[in-house]
Amino acid sequence: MSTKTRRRLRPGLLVAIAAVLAATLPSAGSGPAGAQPSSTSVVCTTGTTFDLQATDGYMSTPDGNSVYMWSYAPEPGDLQLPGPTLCVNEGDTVTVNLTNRLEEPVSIVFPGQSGVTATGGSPGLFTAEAAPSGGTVSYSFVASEPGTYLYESGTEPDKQVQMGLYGALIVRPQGHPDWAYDDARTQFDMSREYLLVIHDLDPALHSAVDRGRPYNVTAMHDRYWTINGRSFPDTIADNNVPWLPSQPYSALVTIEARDPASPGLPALIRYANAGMLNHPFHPHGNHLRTIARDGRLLEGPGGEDASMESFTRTIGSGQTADLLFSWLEVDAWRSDGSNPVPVQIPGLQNLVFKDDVTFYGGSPYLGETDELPPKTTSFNECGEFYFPWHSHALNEFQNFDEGFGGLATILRVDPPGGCP
Amino acid sequence: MSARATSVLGASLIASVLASLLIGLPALAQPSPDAATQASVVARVAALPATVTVNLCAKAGSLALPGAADPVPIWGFALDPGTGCGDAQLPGPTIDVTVGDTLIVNLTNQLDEPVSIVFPGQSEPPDMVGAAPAGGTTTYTLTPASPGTYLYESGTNVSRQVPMGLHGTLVVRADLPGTAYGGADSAYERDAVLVLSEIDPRLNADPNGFDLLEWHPTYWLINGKAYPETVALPVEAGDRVLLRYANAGIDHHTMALLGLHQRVFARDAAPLNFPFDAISETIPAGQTADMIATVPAGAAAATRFPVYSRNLHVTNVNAFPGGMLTFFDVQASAALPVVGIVPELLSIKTVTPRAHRVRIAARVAECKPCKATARLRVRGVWRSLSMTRRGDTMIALFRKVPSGRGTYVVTIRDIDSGVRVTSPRRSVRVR
Repeated sequence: MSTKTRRRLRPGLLVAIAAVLAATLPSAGSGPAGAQPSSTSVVCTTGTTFDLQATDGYMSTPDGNSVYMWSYAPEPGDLQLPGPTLCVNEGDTVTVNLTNRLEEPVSIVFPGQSGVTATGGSPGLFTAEAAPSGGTVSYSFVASEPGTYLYESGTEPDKQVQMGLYGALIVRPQGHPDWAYDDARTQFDMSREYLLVIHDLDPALHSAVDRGRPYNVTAMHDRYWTINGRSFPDTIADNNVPWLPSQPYSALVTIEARDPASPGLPALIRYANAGMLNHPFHPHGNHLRTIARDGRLLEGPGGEDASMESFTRTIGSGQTADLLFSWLEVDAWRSDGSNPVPVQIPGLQNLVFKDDVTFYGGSPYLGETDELPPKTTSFNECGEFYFPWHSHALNEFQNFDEGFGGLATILRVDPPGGCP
Repeated sequence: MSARATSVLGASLIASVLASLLIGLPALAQPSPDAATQASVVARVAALPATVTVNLCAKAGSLALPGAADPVPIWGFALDPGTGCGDAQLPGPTIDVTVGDTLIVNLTNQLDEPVSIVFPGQSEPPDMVGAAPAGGTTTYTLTPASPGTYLYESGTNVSRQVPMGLHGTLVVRADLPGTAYGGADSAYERDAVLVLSEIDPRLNADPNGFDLLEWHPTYWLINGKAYPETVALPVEAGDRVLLRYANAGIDHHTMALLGLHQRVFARDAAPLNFPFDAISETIPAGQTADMIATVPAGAAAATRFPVYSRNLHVTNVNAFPGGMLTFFDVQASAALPVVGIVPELLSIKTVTPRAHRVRIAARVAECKPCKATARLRVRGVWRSLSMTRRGDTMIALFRKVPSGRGTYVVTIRDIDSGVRVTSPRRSVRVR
């Protein structure tokens, strides 16, 4: 970011970040595949029949703003962004009952599902709609293909999807909850499954809806960008932190470094873009392997592997993608002199951290910490590595023109065995 | 034209099928536009490479948009069928040739500034001279060597002329009809061109004075129309529909389908090594993409599948619904033997006063594969011909038919099931 636009993190924001991290750094417990998911893993609402409502409320931004939102929520329940992540199994007949607590008709469409039938409601342009103030409608379909999908409003979507009516649907292959698709090549570490649902919004449009003023989509000027309904640094707080009641899902990705000789199973990252814009998502410093798009495995006509690695991936509006990721300690730098980092490590007097805050632990060796310059506040626990994962449309890496923020999260790589 | 046949097929599909048959073309399920204002140039008459000549005029015109008080001024390519320039069209006429054809495009410039045409993806060098204003002409000669979907657009003052409307598509058909690229993997039952573009009316009001840094479109178009004026694509259950997306705009557009996936088969007329299925796919500005969407076999008649901008440019200015939105419209299919076969007399062409060409057709959508025989009796003599298939219609062309009264009848046989149906006899007067 250019020096002209750099801003100092305001002290209040700094304290907020410290509070976020001190209170909610995920427990660095490690274990073999099948161990307890971390406190930032995907949160599933399981079943085959789901009772949802369309409701309204407010969500929080890290710069202290409240934005009026609409969302799907459990019935009964309160506003949540994104809507509940519905997790079903391949072949299930899924029923979604929607009660409309808003004052305009709403609906749900299920991109990627075929043969969706609707009962009740009244016919709308894309699907049947629930009438305002208590109307209901029910949708049913067979989830015949595993994958990551969105569900979102089919009623005036340029307004309602912007307002927050979106969520994710995960279909797991029958008999293989630890596979992403009906293919053994898509097996992943079940304790490392992450869902990142992206959205973009203009708070002025939301304010207009809140106050009953006309909604003018042609005046749209986004100011906030979210992953799982939160803007960075809220994205890295745990699932269900009490101070983000409308935004229960974390976007922090935590994995453990592995020995290349025994890599184990990769983490599974599910991307979904519910926003109106395409977003170039950049997992900084790492390649991830995209194995599927829009709920379909990438393969050739003869089953050839057509997966691909990249470090930036544009996720188009309405698209989903599934990616496998491992962090292998291929370099195996060691501080005992047997395999040192082949660069001169700067002395303390040459280290400066922006606002004297850092995630760096003082040592470039995974699992070790070392001295930092005086006055530096470090959030590092035990020498784990951190990488920012963020939109590379850098205007989106901010909260209302204040960086860092917006469409960003962090990858945390723990040393093998995790932090003690 | 039989009224019963009209009820079986969407009227627009019948019109385009018949229109193309009369000129000897494979049937296209293109959105069937008003012939006078959206004429398509058709080329293929025989199986051999042809020389196709298209006369275009670059001229000013206007485009009515939903909710707009006045039509917006545009610049567009108009077709000159030999009787003078028609009206400017947005997009320009679709040029339809087959790989190996020689395409000659004669351009007459009726604008006040120079204009030219570039053909991205074709190997001829770009035109650096163009046609002079107020009547200047120039000619382009191309031999498209690869099948696919291509754009053509002005190469002069492009930031203004292209968004003003000087763009269109060039469809180069493969050698194997009914496929996009010559193989079974790109086979389709219907194809449709979808030209994507945007309009900021402030540019149209002052094309050379408007500050392009202020560009902020408020209309989004498919084939020059915004919903509800976009034309739904008639399809049948089980159809593979080839969507020829061509982004003539200056914004990227992410297009999505509801209820089905689209198989991304080619980009910029180059087939992918590994086509993949997408719900939502981005077509960047200036790119074309060929995607094949298969309508579910069980789709009921009157089901509609939305095809729309997932950037949610589905408004006209601020009014929903609008913009870049259309639908697949599932038609009722003819079913054997519930609906009888209705033979139709398509045309009688007089070659000499005593010898006529009589063309007879019958719609056979549910008969696949199908054998059909047409029999024509004039002056007591029966003639029998095996019919050839064009899409969902079987056609027979009787030559050297004498004048007189007669009857005709069609028998079709569904090869898989063995079911055979004979039509009622219809009378004809050949003269």
